[in-house]
Amino acid sequence: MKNRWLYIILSVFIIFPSCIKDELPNVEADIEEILIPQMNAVTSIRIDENRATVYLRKGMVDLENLQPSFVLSEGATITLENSLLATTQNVLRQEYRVTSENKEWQKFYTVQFLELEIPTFYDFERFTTNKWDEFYEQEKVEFDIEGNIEDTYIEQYIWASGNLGFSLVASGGPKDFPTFAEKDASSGKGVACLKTRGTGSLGALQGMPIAAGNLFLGEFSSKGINIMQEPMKATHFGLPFRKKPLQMSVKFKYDGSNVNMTYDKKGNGTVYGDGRDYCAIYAVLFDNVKAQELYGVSYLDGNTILKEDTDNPIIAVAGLHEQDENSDQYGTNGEYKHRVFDFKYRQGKSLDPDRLRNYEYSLAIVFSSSFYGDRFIGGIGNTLWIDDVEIVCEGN
Amino acid sequence: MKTLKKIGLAAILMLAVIAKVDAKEYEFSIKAGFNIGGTSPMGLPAEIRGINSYNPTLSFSLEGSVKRELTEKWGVMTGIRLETRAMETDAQVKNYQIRLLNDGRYIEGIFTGDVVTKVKNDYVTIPVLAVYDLSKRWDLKFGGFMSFLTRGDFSGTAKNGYIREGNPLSQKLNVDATYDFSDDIKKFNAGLELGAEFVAYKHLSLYGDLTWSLTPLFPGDFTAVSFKMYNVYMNLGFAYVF
Repeated sequence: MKNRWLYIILSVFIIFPSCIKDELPNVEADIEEILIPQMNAVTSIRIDENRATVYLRKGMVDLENLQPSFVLSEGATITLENSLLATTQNVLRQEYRVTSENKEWQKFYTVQFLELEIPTFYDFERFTTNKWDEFYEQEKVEFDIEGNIEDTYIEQYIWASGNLGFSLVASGGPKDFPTFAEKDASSGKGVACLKTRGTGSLGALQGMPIAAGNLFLGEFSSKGINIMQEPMKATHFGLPFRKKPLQMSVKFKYDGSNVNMTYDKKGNGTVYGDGRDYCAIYAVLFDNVKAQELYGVSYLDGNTILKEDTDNPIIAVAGLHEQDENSDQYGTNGEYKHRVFDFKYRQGKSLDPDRLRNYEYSLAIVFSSSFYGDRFIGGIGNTLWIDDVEIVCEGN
Repeated sequence: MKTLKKIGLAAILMLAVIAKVDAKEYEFSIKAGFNIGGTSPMGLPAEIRGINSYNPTLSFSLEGSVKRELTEKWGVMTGIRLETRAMETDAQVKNYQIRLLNDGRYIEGIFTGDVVTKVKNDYVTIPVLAVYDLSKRWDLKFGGFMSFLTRGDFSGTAKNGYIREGNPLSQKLNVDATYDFSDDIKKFNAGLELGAEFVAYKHLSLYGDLTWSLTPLFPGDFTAVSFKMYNVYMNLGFAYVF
């Protein structure tokens, strides 16, 4: 008797998997990848929430007749809503609408194909605000709109920050994030403001007691990783660069008055090192082909950006922490300082001009309000203001 | 709720004592068994794409019951049962509405990946059943039950996947997160019970009772999981009849 009941029960659970219903039409509407016929012309692609930028080598792609294709969320469809080609033929800006398989969700993307090089001067005057502030650079172009030539600016989102990571453990308005835009009180000019934040007891429990403000050239991406477990891999540093950089010029102000601390899982802090926190201001030129060989990706991440081992892709570094006179990195007494740092070539490393023209080097620029913020060491409240950064290059 | 459990245990012992006093009109028994089943939506929602694993886990029950013969064929039965209804599942889901605790912060949104669910709920249950004497050896029972939660655990992890906070248009976030809805479980659970008892020896019988709850596990305003869940368990065991 008991056996018979057991058989009945068991058969119920064997039938269970066959009760799985037909899959519902998908609700997602993402552009996951962008493909063009000449993929070897692509130097970098960044796909954000509602925009994507594809940087192309000069002179390889006929933008007027470009037929991009897209990898979308399963079942989603895409329609081209608008397409504008610059009169100079080097910028193609397209608007797309992506519709989910179940037709209920739509996402709009601005996709830009740019035969441009990244700018070398950054004043942090321009940003957009969604959940947090995002800085962008702009480039003036002429579009031919039905016979009328119109001047316009296109946006280049080349800066990234770890604000997304912060949003996972804390919440608040855009100015509560570690990286945000601010106006300098004295000049009225826009500056990038980076502030080391505490993340509360819950952040501490996860081994992320603080979040330092950071800003860098590249992309902050959670693609393929769990940010909370591998935060160092989310920062993709560097974009292809075709000029020979000589110096990095920076205007900055730093308040490092809060004691440098490291924290345990309960959020209890102990003084780290000599208790002095310091900011990060540096640029790294690296060999992106070598990075691809060594790390499988053409960028550097939090684990590889300042590697000191013998075999690494780093060519030259310009940074405040590398200067003989580096007292400014601990604090500037409330004043803006203008400093210029030479790119110092690593021992045995040099630039090959042919490879430089061939997009085989990348430039990373990194700012942080706590140098070891990526390792969750820093002084909560320490703040770095960044303005007017220039990469001085050979021939300009 | 611990006291409720103690009262239940005392009641079972008391039934056993009374059994010795007056065994003619009333038939007393003590039952020991286990529960096998699931706490599950009725009909799997389309968001569940597959069951990777199911484990009924060891969940025991102890019951003291009393039966009163009304006619030659019919009787009524009630009692007190201390029982655990438990299971563990690992399900593959797509676009599944859930509230996760991801590294200290709650994220409510749609998850695609694997959801491991652990259920281990202790109840004090009072069944009220009609008993039909099918033959000398077979009794059929049907009626209802009321269960009072003494300890609830409904928790698990969401892994190998991503969540989109709020709606499907927001950013994909790979997560390895936990959830715990133990505190949201309703204290009261009731439903139908039907079963059969086979008298194997003079004092020993085997039984199987299906308990099918009609009240959902979570209250109506609970939104962290988008569908209602019900306890459906088979209680199997043997009874010592005094």
